[in-house]
Amino acid sequence: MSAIAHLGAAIPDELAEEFLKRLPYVSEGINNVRLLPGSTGVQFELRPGFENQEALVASRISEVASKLCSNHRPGFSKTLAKRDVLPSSFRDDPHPLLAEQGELVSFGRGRYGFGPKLIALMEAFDSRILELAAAFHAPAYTFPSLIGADVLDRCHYFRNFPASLSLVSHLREDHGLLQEFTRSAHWDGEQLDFDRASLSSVECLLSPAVCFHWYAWLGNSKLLEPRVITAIGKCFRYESSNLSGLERLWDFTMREIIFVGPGQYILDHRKTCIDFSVQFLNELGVAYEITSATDPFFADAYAAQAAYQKGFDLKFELLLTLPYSGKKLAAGSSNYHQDFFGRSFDIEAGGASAHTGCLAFGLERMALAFVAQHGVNEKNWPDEVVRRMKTRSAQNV
Amino acid sequence: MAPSTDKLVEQRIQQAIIRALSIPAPGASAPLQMGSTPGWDSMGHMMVVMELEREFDTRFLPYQLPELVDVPSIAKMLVQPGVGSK
Repeated sequence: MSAIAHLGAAIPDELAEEFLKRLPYVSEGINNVRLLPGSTGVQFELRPGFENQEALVASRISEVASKLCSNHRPGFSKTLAKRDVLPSSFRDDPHPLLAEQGELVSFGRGRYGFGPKLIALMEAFDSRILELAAAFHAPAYTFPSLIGADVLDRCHYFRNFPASLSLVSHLREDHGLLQEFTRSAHWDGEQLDFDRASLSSVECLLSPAVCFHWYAWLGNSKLLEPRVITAIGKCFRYESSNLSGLERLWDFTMREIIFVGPGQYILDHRKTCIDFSVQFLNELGVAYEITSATDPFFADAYAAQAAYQKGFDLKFELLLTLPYSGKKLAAGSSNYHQDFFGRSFDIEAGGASAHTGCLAFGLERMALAFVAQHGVNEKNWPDEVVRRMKTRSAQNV
Repeated sequence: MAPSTDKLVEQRIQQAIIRALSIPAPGASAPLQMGSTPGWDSMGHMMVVMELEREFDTRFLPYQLPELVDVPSIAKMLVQPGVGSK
C-alpha cells in the first residue's frame, strides 16, 4: 500500500539525504520511502500489520521535515582539499567481486567478515596512520567495546543520537528464568524468540566511538600538560534500513588519534592532522575531498546542533568517491569538540575546561573506497600500499 | 530623556540572552559573554542565537555564529548587510 506525506515546505537539496536517512526511524512499519519531485512530499509504503498507521506515519514524516528545516542555515560548506581524478577505469561495485574472491562475507545486516587481503589492506592504512601518531609521540591505548551508560549519559549521547544506540543486556540472575530460557529460546527465522521479561536492565552499550573512553579515563583531573594518544577499536552504530554493505556497517573498526588540552593546542594539531590526511589520501591515489560536515544529530536537535558545528568549523569529513554509485563516502573525520568533553567529564587544562579533538578513520570504509577506485586486483594498487600490506602480513604470520 | 536606539537594541539583546539561558539579569560588573556567563556554552549558544533571531526576526549565517559572543558584538552583527532578512 502506497501513501503520501505532504511536507509543510520543500526540503532543501542539501538536506534531502539527511532527511531520507532519518525516515526509517519514524516507524517500524515504513518501507520503500521516496522523496517526490519538488521535495514537498514523501511517498512511502507500510509493511503488513501497519496498514492502519498511515496518518500517524505521515504526520511523523512531516514533523521530522519540519524539525530538520526549521532552523536550517543554507550553504557555506568549506572544502579544504580536493582531488577529482580517479586512479583507474574500474567502475564496478566491488562487493560481489570481493565475495567471489573469498575476501568478504555477509553475516547479516551491517555485519561482515573479511579475508586476508582486505585485512592486510586495512592494516596497511592503519600502519600509515600510526606513523602520524608516532610523530605526535602518541602512545597506544585500548578500550573495551562495551561502554557504560553513565559515560554516554555524561556526553549527552542519548539525547543526540538515540536511534543509533546498541544497548547491551543479559539474562537476569534468576535460576527460574534461566531454566525457562534454556527451554524456550529459539531463532524464529528473524529474531531470537524468548521472554523479554528475563532481560536485565541496561548497564552498558556497545561503544559508538573510540574516544569517549579516553575522556572518561581523564575525568575529574587537571592536566599538567596536553595529552595525545591513539587507539583502535570496534564501534557500533545501528542504522536500520540504511545499513548497506561496507558503506554503512553496524559494527566497524575505527582508528583514532585523540587530543586533550587547551583550545589552541587542539586547533594547531588539527591543522597538522588535516595536512596529514591530504598527504595520506594523495599517497593512496584516490579521489577525495575534505569538507566541513555535521554529525547526524536526532531530528529534534539537528538544526541547532548542525548550525553550531558548521558555524564553528568543528567537523571536517574525508569524503572518498565511490565510482560505482557516484556517491561520496565519509571514511574519516577531523573533529574539534571545543570544551564539550572537558566540561562533561570535568577535565581541566591550562586553568580552564580542557578542549578535545580527534582524527578518526573508518578502516572498512577506507578499504571499500580504495578498492572501488583501484579495482579488486592488487596488481593495480599503488606499490607503497602493497609493500605495507606485505610487511604487515609477514609480521602477522 | 529616552534611551538612544543603540541602547534600546542592546537592552533587547540582553533580555533575549537572559530569556534564552533562563538566568537572572547580571550586574553591570558581569557583562553577558559566551564562555563566562553561566549556561552560555556551546549548547547554550544556539539557544541564544535562536532567541536573538526570534527577537529581531532575522537569521544569522553559519559563519557569523562564532562572532556572536557578547552584547556589543551581537549589536554590531545585527546592522551588517545580509542580517535582518530571512
